[in-house]
Amino acid sequence: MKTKKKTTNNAPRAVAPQLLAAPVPKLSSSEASVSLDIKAHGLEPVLGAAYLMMDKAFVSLSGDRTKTIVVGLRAKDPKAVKPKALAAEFLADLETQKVRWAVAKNNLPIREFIAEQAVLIANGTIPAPSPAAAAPEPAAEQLTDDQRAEIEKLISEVEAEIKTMNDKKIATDPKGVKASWEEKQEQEHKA
Amino acid sequence: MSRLTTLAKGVAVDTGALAAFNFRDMGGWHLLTNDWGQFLMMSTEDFNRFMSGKVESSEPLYRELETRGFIKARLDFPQLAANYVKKNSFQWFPGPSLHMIVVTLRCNQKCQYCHSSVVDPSRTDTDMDIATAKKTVDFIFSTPNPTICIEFQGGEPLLNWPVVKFITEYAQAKAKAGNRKLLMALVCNFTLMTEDKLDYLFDHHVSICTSLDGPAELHNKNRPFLGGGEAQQKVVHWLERIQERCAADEKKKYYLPGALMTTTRFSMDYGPEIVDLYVKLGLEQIFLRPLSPIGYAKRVWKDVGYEAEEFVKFYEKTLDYIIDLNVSGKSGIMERMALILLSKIVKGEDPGFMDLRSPAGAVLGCLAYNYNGEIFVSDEGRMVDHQGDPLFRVGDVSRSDWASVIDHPTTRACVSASTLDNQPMCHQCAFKPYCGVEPVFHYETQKSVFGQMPTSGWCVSHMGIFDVIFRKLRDPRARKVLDKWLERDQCRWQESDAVPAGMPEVVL
Repeated sequence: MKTKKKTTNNAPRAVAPQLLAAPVPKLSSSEASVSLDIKAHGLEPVLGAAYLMMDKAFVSLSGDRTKTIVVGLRAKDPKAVKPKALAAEFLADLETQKVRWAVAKNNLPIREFIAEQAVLIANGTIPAPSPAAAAPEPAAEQLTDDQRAEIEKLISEVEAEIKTMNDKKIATDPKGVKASWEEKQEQEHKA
Repeated sequence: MSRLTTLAKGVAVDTGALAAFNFRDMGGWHLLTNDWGQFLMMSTEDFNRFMSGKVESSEPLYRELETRGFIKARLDFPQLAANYVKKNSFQWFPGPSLHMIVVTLRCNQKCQYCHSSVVDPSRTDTDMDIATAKKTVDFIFSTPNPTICIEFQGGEPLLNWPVVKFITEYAQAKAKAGNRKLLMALVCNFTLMTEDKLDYLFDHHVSICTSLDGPAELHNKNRPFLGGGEAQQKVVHWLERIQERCAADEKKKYYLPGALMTTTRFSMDYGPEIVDLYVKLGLEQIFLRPLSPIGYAKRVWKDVGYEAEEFVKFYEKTLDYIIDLNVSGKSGIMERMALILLSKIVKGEDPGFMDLRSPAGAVLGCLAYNYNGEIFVSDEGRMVDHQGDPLFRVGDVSRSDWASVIDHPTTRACVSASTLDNQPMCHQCAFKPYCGVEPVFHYETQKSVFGQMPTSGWCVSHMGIFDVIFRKLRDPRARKVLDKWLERDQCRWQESDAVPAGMPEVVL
């Protein structure tokens, strides 16, 4: 079945960068430090932006990861890059990290669902779509209320299924990756 | 260069409406990619409109975005899942397909950059014996992938010719009995090749590959004979001789020899001369490969190595030269790295290249067997062992079974470290659908199988190469050449697919 779905999860939306008050870095002759409210900026974007600075700077993190983190940046080559420039680059990375993380979180169930469908196609449980069968479907804005409700139901089912799979204690070797060629042949003969 | 790019200041973003994707500012235009291997190159202006949800459904761009899975409200789940299956075809076959057997550590060359941790030709104690060879083949055939490719490596494998012959015949008998698809390849330096050996390799469908670093002055500097002498002339002689024999017999057309070049510091000024030599010798492809600071090469890196940025410049300049040759009609020679990436990017297929997969080829795609039967996650892992660190050893053909190798803690660590979704920078990179990281490389260069991508030479060189390839894809003149390469490559694979399981086949 060819299904086009409108997602409905309530994952975070990034705020347009210009609406946020940019954190003000503290600058010394050798170091920049930026104090960041984790509730406002999110932990992953802060850590992600700090990680990206590691080619140019020695990066230190201090504080409480549930409240405020102070990111310290000291240039690896102080002659090539000044603390002010390091801070500016970090803050630009931070804004982009917020967008990247928001997009990733919003789409996690969809990515998991498609990966799961891929496994099912690969092991022959469901057929691969034939290009000829693919017919144009109505755009999301043209869907009826019933269609929207059905899609929302489908998505919540998939999300629940993924959660159950993740929660379950999966057997040691559910896919049989440890089976040798001979064992696989034997299983196929039995089947 | 290896950094992720940022959004322009002040760009409004409606993240709730965006499908899963990564992006890269390519300088004047943006690249979008997604997990399903789809990509779109667009102007920065269009990119900014896309990010703020202002591309109207009536626009052609909307349709482009929609068909490639970038519009969240219009995702064609079955088709995207099918793309994912095709792109990651290596994931659906259990177990490794490539098995590299080091039949001896002995070598008669002393290459400047030798990765392979070789020993003097007198050290026959580092030859694989028949009993170990038999156990190695038995182990290989116990792994579950229906297709097996055995590659003879060294040292110089021709120094242990009887074991090469034994493995060839024993493996072919086992393939026939078990109805397995078997490919065999020999990687040698040609210095010990003879007509008799060549006859044997042809008769037993073993394809042949050698090293050719370029003109004599460069090749002989990179790869001198032990005790002095000219190595390049031997390589050229046998390349010409094998081609002569292939040309004389239609059945041998798949046995055209391959050659690999390794880029050292000395190669940097020789790009066009290296390509010209490959063209002169009638070689269909050239593989512009960077040098890895692994094993012996790590110790001599200051003499032969270079910065990753230098390699990217060399790669782009030489690729430009190759494309110019194609455009002018002077040669149809193809560059192998470009071809590998194009298969992934344009065709959405996996070309079977172990280094650029997620997770990497270590154990899941390949295994290396030392002369004494020890099993390693890859040949690079074996080289680390030769330097005294057994971290990448995952078994022994005498004592281990497949279950213990796949379940080995090192296997698990390598798989985890080379899954790009686990890497803090890679999971946001626009090149993620086509790239990969190498745990052994990062262990050797950064003392961690995970590595640290912002400071990784691997990341700098691969991101640089991806930048080059995507710029070429946006250039109509280069694109025409690249599309032609893909068509030609497709034909070779299609012709080869006709060989049934249980029958010997050659590696392309």
